[in-house]
Amino acid sequence: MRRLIALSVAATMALIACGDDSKSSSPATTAAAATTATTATPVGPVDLVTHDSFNVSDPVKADIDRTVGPVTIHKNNGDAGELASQLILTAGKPLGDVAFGIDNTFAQKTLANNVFEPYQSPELEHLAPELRNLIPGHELSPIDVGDVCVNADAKWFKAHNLAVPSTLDDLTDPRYKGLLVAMDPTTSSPGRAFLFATIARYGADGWQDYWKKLRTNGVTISSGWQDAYDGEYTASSNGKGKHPLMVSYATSPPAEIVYASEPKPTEPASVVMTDSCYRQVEFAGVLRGAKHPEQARRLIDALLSQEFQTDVPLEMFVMPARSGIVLPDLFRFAAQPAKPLQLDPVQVNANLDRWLDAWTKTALR
Amino acid sequence: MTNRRLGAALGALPLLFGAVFFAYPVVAILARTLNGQALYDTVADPSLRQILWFTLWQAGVSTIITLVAGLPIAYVLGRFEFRGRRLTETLVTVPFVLPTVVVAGAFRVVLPASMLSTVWAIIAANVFFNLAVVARTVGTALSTLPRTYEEAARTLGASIPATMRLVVLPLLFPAIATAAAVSFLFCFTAFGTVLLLGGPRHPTLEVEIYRQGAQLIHFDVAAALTVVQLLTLLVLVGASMLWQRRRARAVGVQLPGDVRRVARTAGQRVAQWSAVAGTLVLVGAPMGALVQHSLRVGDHYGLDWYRALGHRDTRIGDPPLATLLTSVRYGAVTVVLTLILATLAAMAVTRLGRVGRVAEVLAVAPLATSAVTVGFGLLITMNRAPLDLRDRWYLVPIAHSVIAVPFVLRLLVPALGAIPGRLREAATTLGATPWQVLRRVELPLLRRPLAAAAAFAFAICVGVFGASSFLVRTDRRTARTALARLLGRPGEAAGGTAAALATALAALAVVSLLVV
Repeated sequence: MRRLIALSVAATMALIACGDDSKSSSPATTAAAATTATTATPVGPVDLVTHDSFNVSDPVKADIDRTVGPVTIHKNNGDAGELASQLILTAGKPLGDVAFGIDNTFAQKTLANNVFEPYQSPELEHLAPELRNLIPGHELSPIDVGDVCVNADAKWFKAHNLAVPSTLDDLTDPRYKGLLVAMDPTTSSPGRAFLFATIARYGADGWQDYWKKLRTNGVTISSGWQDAYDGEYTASSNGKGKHPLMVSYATSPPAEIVYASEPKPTEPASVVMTDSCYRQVEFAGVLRGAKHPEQARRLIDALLSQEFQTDVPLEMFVMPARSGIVLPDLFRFAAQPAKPLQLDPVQVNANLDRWLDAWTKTALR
Repeated sequence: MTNRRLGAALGALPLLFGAVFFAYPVVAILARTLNGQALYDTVADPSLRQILWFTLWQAGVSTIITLVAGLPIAYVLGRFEFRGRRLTETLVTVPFVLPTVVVAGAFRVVLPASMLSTVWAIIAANVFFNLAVVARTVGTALSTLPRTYEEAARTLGASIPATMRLVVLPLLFPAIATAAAVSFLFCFTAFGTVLLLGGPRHPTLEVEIYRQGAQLIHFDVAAALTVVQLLTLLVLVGASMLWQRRRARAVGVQLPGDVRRVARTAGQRVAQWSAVAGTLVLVGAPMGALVQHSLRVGDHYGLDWYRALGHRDTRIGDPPLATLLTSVRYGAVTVVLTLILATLAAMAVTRLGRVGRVAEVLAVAPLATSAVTVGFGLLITMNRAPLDLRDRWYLVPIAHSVIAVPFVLRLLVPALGAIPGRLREAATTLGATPWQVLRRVELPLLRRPLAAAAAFAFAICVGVFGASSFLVRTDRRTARTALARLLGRPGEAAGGTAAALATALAALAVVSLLVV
């Protein structure tokens, strides 16, 4: 017994000695820490807080580390909703310097809680005009656009001799009964966006009827995008699903090809129903109370830069917010809706709870 | 030093730990987010009653089924000696180690489609996880319960079923009650399995707290629901513990080597092997699906996904194999921390009479408080000196110990209670100080329960979702995080690699637990 205790104590001390220092990060940042006199303005460390879907390729990250300073990326093991809740709770005593990943659903709430510092980046000039002033006070800067649209498995429809539905109204057509899977808006971000699409299309008085019709037409509700994709959608890589219609992203078709197993198909099975698209914008902002505010502002500039924005499509499967970016070839399969559905962010913030409550009663219970 | 003073001295450290790393964060977050109006509105809301009832119901049914499924294997593990006993014991504990996302995926394969998104899928997963609690808790108690009473009953002519019913089960009552209480707590506060297997139509209280706090950002509603959950569980568990205390008996303790025997009659052998086989099928089916998924590459079988474990991917972070080691390191530190604190606490609680009993009930609080709330609490409190620990790696084992210590305490207190006062008195008569009684009488008799406790503490650290995932920075290099990220990606490669990582994790757990 005594030996066991002694052994455990020794083991613990050994483990503590080689304990994981969470400040250590990828090799790129250690290389960049070696000082080089490349830029006139000083570089310094900066902490980026984000959700699990954030990605940047190694070369682009190395460049940012060189020009702005060593960036430590802290992913929160969750999604945009969890990120928003964490940022709001720690407003003023933030978890980092810059936060990326707040979308237009949560933007107003974070502004109301004073999470961010205003910063008008000079790079904003290069954004499309309708994106440039989405947040008039510039507490948040649009970084990418990830529209949520219904995806249809064209191969399945062809095999079953059915025309691919093209409008939201089509989804209530009995021909397509039991074919759609959507997500619960209270736990899923794309699920929420689809709900907003129906509210934007049918209005505050008509959307509940629409959902009643969807329910009659056998819509399946899943807890999250991942479940729906793995278990319900017919075109996803395991093919166990029985639903050829799924609420997903405008950029899902190219992702399908990228993530397919060898040999990769030349065309995706899915097509996007552009009539159903809802505009979803992702923002980044300087956190109020950040330890490195100057570095934070320069990181925002870097996120809006040509280099990072070109990297965005294949790293995160969203569209860059900056205009004039050349998209990868695969993105010819992605949808770029000319007039996506949109709701006023202030209206969203004011009514979100009521809408979600009403949706739960209409579509679930 | 008197016994009471020794008890107080022993309890000081665990009390301090609990106060700083549990009570302080929870009180801080509740103080900040709770308000009377929200509490009133929440309690008055009829849908709350429905959610609460559903949560109680599914936890209750799960616990009963777990007991029924777990008692046979507990008896076999506690009473029989056979080749492969330790391996069986370890395999039964492995479900605890598997993160819930992995288990949910495996269950989707194993369960018939009609069961998915129903309450029965949730119950099946609950049984899968908590079988280990019943098997090891009751099994350990059985392995130290002297056979004399059963043998006396048999000599007096009682049949085997009558002996079980009238002698064994009553003697086992404290252990069964403990196993039931802990299983109930875990089933009540289960999150991952409910969300992923139950779907959106079957929210439990914990899912609702997550939804309100981390998705809808209604902190006041989340706080109110947390209070409702905590009070409900404290009342239920407290009542069961007080009731159990009145009926507990210190019937004596024997070393497992003397209690366990090889099965002699054909009947015993049949019973033994059918219990083992049945349990391994129950526990093994989902794990088998996992292993199969990890080996399937396209339309043939291969080790591609296992090879992928060594590759680094910018999206996932460290190579999956490295995350395994990180998880094991965290797990080992958690085990040491938990065992020290829980042993001190158990010995304190049994020496402090009525105060000890109240402390025991309150010690359940970390298991009864929503992980979301504890996580948020840690987020807002661990950020300034002398507690500026948000970036420190050891906040992870600390956060896990906050959950593991109450759990282990529930295992150790009945074990201590089973030691007859006579033994302690005999030692004292022979001149032992209270400290020596502790060291030379109690600790050696706690070895088996401590081993089981170590297994659970390790498993909790590696597998359970919990509050540490809200710590943002420090938990990101563990296997659990790597698994969540892999499973969050589309494509066969990601799914296969996740299955391989989960299998490797389970294998590593088996090896580690066999060593303990």
